Amino acid sequence: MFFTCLLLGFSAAAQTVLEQKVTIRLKAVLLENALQELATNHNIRLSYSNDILPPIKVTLQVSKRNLQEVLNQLLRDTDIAYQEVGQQIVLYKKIPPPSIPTERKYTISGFVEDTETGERLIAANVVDRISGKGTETNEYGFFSLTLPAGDVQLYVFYVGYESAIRALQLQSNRRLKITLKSSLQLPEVEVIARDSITTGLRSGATTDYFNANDIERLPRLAGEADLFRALHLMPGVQTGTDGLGGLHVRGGNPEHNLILIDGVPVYNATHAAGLFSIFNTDAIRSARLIKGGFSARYGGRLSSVLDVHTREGNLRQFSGQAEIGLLTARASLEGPLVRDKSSFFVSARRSLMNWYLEPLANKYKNNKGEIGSTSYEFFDVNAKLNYTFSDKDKLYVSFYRGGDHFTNRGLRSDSISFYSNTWEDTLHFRHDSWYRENLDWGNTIGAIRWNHLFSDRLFSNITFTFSRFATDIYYGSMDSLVFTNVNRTLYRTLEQGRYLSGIRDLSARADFDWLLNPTHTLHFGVHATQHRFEPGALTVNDYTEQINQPENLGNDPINSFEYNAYIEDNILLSNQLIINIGVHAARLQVQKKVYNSLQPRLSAYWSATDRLGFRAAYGQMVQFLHLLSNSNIGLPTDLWVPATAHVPPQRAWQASFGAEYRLGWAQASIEGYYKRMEHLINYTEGALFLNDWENNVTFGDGRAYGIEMLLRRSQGKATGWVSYGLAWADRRFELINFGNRYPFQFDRRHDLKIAAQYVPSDWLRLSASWVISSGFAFTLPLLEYYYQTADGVLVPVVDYGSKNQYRMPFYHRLDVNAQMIFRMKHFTHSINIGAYNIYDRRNPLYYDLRTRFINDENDQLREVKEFVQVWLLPFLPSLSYSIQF
Amino acid sequence: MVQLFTRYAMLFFIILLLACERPVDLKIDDIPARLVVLSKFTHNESLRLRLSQTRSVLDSEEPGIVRNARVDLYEGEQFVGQLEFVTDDGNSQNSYYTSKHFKPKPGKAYTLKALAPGFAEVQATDAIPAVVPIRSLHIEEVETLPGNRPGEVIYAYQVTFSFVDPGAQENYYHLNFYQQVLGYNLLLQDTLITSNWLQRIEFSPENDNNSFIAYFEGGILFDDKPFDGRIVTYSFPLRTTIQPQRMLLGKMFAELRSVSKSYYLFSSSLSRQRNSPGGPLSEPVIVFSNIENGSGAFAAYSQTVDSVAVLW
Repeated sequence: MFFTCLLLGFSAAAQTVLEQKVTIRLKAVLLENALQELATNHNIRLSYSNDILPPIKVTLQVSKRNLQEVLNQLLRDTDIAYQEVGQQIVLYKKIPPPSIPTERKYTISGFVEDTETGERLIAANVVDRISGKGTETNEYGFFSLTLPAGDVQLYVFYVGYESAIRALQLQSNRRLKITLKSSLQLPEVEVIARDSITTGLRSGATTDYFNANDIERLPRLAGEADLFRALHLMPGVQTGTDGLGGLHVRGGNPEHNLILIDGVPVYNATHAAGLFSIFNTDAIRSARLIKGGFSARYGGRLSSVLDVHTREGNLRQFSGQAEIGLLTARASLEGPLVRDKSSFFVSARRSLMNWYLEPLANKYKNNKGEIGSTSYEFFDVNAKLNYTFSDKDKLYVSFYRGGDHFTNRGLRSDSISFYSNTWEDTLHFRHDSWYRENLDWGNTIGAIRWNHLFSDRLFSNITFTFSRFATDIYYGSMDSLVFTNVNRTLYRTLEQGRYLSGIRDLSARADFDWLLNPTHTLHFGVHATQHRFEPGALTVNDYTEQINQPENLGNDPINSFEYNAYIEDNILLSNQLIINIGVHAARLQVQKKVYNSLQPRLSAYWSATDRLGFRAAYGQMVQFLHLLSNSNIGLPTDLWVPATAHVPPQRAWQASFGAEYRLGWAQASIEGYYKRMEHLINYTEGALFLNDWENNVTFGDGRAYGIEMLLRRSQGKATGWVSYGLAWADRRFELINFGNRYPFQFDRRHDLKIAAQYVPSDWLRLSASWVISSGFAFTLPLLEYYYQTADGVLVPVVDYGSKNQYRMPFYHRLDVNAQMIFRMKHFTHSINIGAYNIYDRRNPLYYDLRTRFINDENDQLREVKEFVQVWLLPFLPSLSYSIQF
Repeated sequence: MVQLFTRYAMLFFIILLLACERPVDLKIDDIPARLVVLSKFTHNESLRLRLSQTRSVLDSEEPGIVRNARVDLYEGEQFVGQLEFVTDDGNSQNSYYTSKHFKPKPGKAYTLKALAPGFAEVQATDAIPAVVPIRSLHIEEVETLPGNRPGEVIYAYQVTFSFVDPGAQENYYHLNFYQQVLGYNLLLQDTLITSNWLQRIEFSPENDNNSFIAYFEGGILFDDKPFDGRIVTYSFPLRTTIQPQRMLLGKMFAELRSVSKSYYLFSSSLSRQRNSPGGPLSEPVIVFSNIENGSGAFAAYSQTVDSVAVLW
């Protein structure tokens, strides 16, 4: 149903708004009312300020005429003009001819903010309608635009907000604060004004934008809205079964994604091995995923940049939100500390899985005759504080802490009694055993940031950051046998160990945006980071009757220093052609070894026509970090390790070329890419992962190439997108698969994703998503033979054939969600009802070879081997409730 | 210990995720059985070859020796002869094919072709590398330690040996140490040696790395990448446990095998597979094979042996 609506919407969108046929009958109606009727009856977005409309009455009767003709007639006796911008019609007052010579140029700079909260808006578009020149706000809501002196008509628009027009006479440099109203907070306005997911708007970079509302509206897992699940629906983004295995962008590894929270890199971005991301949706202001054509400001990763900005806090009033679902509960609070000067935002989320896990685990253990418990929980805390010192200075302090905790423990005691003829007595023995496993891992990040305006054209951002990811794993077990007749311990064994691993960054950086002239905007900066790696250390203590020796296995900490500098120029060669050219320089000092790199970046966007645009990009990337994984799903025992004197940095280059075409209310794009990765490292096949890692890794390369297509509709009651990816990805390592190239695990050849949203009324939002992808590549044991040792013993050998030569079945899944919103006087209530995997598709996580024994027809015990398909998430209904004030 | 830990980590996620499961038929029964050739041959010894077959991992029956195969041996392009099947009626698994009187020579490439009813013909080629002599071998820092059991003594010593790696070529080695142990009885005032055996010294796989891999049957495997063409000196701490009231320590033997690349890859991957923690979430270890249309290894080596007395 949703897909039908979506597709109908797409076909209807093949014409422009002005070409839309309208029928209207007006008799002596006020112009304002006439426009309102026109908008309401024909689902047209008209944007205007009431005070520009003269109080005249109009009469008009037309049938199936172009909107353009109708507007011409309605506005013919006024000084109102109109223009189609995006998918809306903007009405504005005609500007009289320029009265001031235009040789001189002045700069308009300032910030674009949310009217209600005072929060600054990222990537809002600011366009002068007279000159056609425009720009967009940076990560801190700042813009700067140099224009000819004279009349200026600034048109400011931003996804999810009502557009604004500011007309002014430019006779000197001006600083403005432009505020936009969120369309979501104006229920009387039809909520269709969202170009909510904008892909690479007039830029050579391939970028997907999200904000919290986009994520909230998509189907949820157990009621939990999640940024990563939204990302999984975009073309070129792959993951494992149900999200396990991390984020793979265009054939890259999970560690190739630069994941930033307010500019600070975070190393472990998921909870529960990937089922949930660490991003609490309440805290997200905006997120953008750059898959290709990275500008020079980004460095240190090969495949993608996920740049997440958290909420700043409402500068005007207190507000809050709380939500409880089947698996998590979260709450947030924000408000002014000093009205219009300082605000705070704090949010927290905690898992509720123990509600189900603990009773189940206790029952399971009791059935086994054990006393014990199993628990798992995760949490996130985000906090942000900002203070505006002046028009030129603003300070931010942000903090994130998130972690996972798993405990599993059990105690079992058995008694054995028998009569001994030797002792002529009944002998009593007691066997006690216990075990305990604790796993803790998590991220802590913090940042202090100072925005300063040196001038109307020069914006600076000075940041100090801290980021730490740590894993702490303990295990222990004990067995003992006590002869209770004499209370003597006959034997006792104790095994315990602790595994600690982590990475810690301290960083300082300075970034500048400098509007050199109307056609050149420079972005440049430097940063320095001290990394400290503690790549896994296991302390083992064994205690038995004979042995009492602690062991220390693992690796020594490594310190490294990374320095980066970049410069990029955004050049507006014409109104049709934009080029971003830059270079990112990086230097790593580690173990008396120095690695230098210069990484050129180039991207371009050419608007061939109003509807058709082309983009191209090329970039080289260098990554000084590696992630060593000992499993194929990504576990907390994975090690972050640096490039060292013996392990060179990873390198990659990527080229992409694409086109996009605007079909009125829909947008279609196609893009091809080729990516080459070198100096990748992986554990040598069969290496034991706690050994000295540097001498147990092998080097290799990877290739990824493919085509991505996207058809997206952002306007109307039915919105959504259809994406298709055709991709290839492989790997070759010297000491894996005997040096032969093999398919990358996430080499999914075909990948179709559909996301649809339908808003039948202002209180109901329906959404659905369906994905179908080629199964991932894996290695399956097929054959077996025996090897005879020199002593004549037969040992089994499993013949796997070649690595990753088999494919899982197609992965597919349909999720649905309905969001009901009830607006009261002071509160807004929201209920989400949905279902994950609605037709209960059993997508395999892995196949396991199991052996069991049965009694055959001759009553003989017989061994039976079989493959067991293990899958993760069956049909899961979801329910969540949230309240907002 | 490390494997135990790995299993704990895996177990956590399996428990955590509360995964669902069901038996499935992956239709792998259709994969035809293949011949398995296993032979490690050297110079001055008759070539012996074990010819068996693969079975599906779902089968429980022990795959038998293939008895009715025609196995031909070629030296270069020249046909050497057909291998003879030698059966062991006591234990059919000990049956083998042999070249009997023909002994391969170093530096020559040998090709084996085997054809048996119901199987695709298999073929493999390998050449015996040149002998690499041991340059020196000596023992120092001998000390005795109490054993883990009553009456046992541990002899711990440092063995150092060296050899010259032939340059400008890839070389692979399998180094074995054997401790000679002499069983004795005291007969009046005399010591009567009643038995004599070699105890193979094993290395722990927990110290494996890209350069050294403990072979699961004993000894270590390594290649010459770190020292191509140079004099190589290695020193190892070794331990032997004996019961002095019944045994005497004899000589320590070092065997340096210069092995073919196939020998090295097969032996090292087999050892790594055996030491792998296993489990569905860990990456599998693929065992090397140089048998065309089949499995196993037809692998050559040359050897030199030296010995030194353990004095304390």
